[in-house]
Amino acid sequence: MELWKGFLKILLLISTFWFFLFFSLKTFAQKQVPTIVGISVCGDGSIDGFEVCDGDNFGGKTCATYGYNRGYLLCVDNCTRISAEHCYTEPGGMGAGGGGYPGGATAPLGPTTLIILGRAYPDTEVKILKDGKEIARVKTDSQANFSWQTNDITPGVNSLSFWADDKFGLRSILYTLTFEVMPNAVTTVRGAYLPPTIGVDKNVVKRGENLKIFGQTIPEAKVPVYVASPAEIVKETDSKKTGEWEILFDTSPLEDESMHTAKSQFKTVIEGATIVSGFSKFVSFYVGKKPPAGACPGADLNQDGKVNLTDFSILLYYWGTNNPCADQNQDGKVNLVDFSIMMYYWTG
Amino acid sequence: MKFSIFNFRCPIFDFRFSISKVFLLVFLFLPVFAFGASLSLEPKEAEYKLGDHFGVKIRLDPEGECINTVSVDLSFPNDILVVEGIDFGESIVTIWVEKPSSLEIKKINEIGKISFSGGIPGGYCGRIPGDPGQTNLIAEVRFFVPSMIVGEMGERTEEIKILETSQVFLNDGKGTLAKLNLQNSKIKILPQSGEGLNEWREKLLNDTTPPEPFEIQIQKDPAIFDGKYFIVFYTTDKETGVDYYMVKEGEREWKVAKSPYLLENQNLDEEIKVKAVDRAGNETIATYYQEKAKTKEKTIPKKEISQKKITEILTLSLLTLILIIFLGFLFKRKLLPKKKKNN
Repeated sequence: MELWKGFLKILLLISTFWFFLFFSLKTFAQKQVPTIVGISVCGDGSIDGFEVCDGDNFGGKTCATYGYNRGYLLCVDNCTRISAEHCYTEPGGMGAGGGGYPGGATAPLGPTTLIILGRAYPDTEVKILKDGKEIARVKTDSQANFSWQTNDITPGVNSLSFWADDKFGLRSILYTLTFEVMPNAVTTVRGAYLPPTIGVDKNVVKRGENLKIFGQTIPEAKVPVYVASPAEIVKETDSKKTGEWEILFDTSPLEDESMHTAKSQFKTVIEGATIVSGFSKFVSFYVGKKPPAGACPGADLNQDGKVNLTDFSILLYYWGTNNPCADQNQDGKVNLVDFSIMMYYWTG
Repeated sequence: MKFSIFNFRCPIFDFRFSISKVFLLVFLFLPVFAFGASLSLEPKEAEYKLGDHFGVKIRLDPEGECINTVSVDLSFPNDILVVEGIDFGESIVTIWVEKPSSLEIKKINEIGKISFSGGIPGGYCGRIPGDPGQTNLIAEVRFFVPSMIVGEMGERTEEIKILETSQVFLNDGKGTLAKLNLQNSKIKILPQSGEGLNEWREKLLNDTTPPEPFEIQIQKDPAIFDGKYFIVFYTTDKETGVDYYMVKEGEREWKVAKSPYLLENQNLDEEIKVKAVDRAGNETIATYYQEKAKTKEKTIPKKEISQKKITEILTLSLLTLILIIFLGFLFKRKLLPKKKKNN
């Protein structure tokens, strides 16, 4: 009896341990690992992010730090550089000045500025949306870098979104950052990295045939591709200097006569830190002989190539009805689920 | 001597594993392993007096997920609390499906329930490191504790609740419902007179920023309104939030409207105006000129209107005064020589 009780206790302990381990691992595995995106505010007086100074806060540095005994320091280049050009040496001069403007004056209030630094795909155009509406387009360089700056921004909570088409015409996800823009300061967002694009060479594939899964991302990065099946299959490849990547996926392990999805992300090392992007869009394909049926245009309800306010209006028009196209998930009712799907495919 | 490996004694801690202790461990560790997004009310607990004004913030914590749609149902004890307004100005939600306007506050107070829903294109994945704000606010409901309550009132403890019908959706393109943890707000009403400081009124008075400029889009789609012309419009307001929209076609009256709006004049030969009004009364007007096929925005801050009116009144008064003095002068000049002649 004692042995049975003990056995039960140890069984309960082990199952509890595995329960937590399983759920914690599952939870972490399901969550998207964000890229290292960070914000610094130049003008708030505190040194954060990539800043080396802010206003008259020089992190304890004075002209003496730079070998002078008089004068004052200035914080320049959006808080990324300390200028000692107003420092000088005077024979017998005492007390090297700290920072800021002379005579205790404070720096004049600057305009409210927002700077975005990110990466997409080499030599493409990134569309920038504010609160869901397109406000700008910016070109990327051959390394997929882009930067954008504006003074036309209202201080407060702002949602900035980004998307781009790659060289194959594949569209990225809409990558959104929601943050507060400080008045009369320079808010810099670094690390706005678009996940890779993804496509397949055929939508219907016979089981056992190879399927080409491809796309574009930043140059020379690791690209893991996740194919959903009862057990997720992960294949990894490298992107070329042009950012292109592809894998030939053997569909033998996949269930026959059913739909499957694949998604990707990129991993790279920048300045010693491993950067992992969010997940790409998921791409669907059918393994089997029967081609998938699909008469509706997805979230682009008016089929103008964009998912924006007009499509939202059409969705609202059919709200609560069973309109087969506005009903994105085909559950018989146009409701918040369909709105959520539209938010995912939004292009502005 | 009985030996049991399960009821072992540690030389330092006398700890015996029993079923109750295992359950205790389970419950102790449960919060650590809690997952799913959370909708919470802030403050969690607070005390108020009669005549007090206060705000309750609804915050979303995605807990590592990315959320693109939020639907909140909130209940409050309407026998002791009055909703004065709802502040959507600092909300992370950018596109609203359902949002009560100030015109619906009376109805909200009658039923004691507020509902709103909307979305964030591309999703909201939590606060970005370095963000100077908390940036997870959905809305702030402003309440008032009436100083005159019918009948004797003792100390009362009530709850403002986020109802179980509230929903949060993952940004996964499939419309997946996220697991949701709810956290309510417990408030204690003391039968004493409060300070009566009204922050909401102050905020409305200080809000002079009109809604963001926007455009009117004319659309025609065989799928809706029987293929007739309709307009689409939308904007945001960073201070107190857009309250409602009004549409004016040609010389017709302004009408409270929602997007999409079916045009009365299908010939499109009249000017169309859409006015976005924020909760403080500031307006931004977008105009669609058919001949130029483009829209033009005009923003009218509330204070500028009053200053403009004051200037107009002052100018008119000054002109009238000058006219009276001039007429008086003329009258005197014409009358005086006559008087002199008479003398």
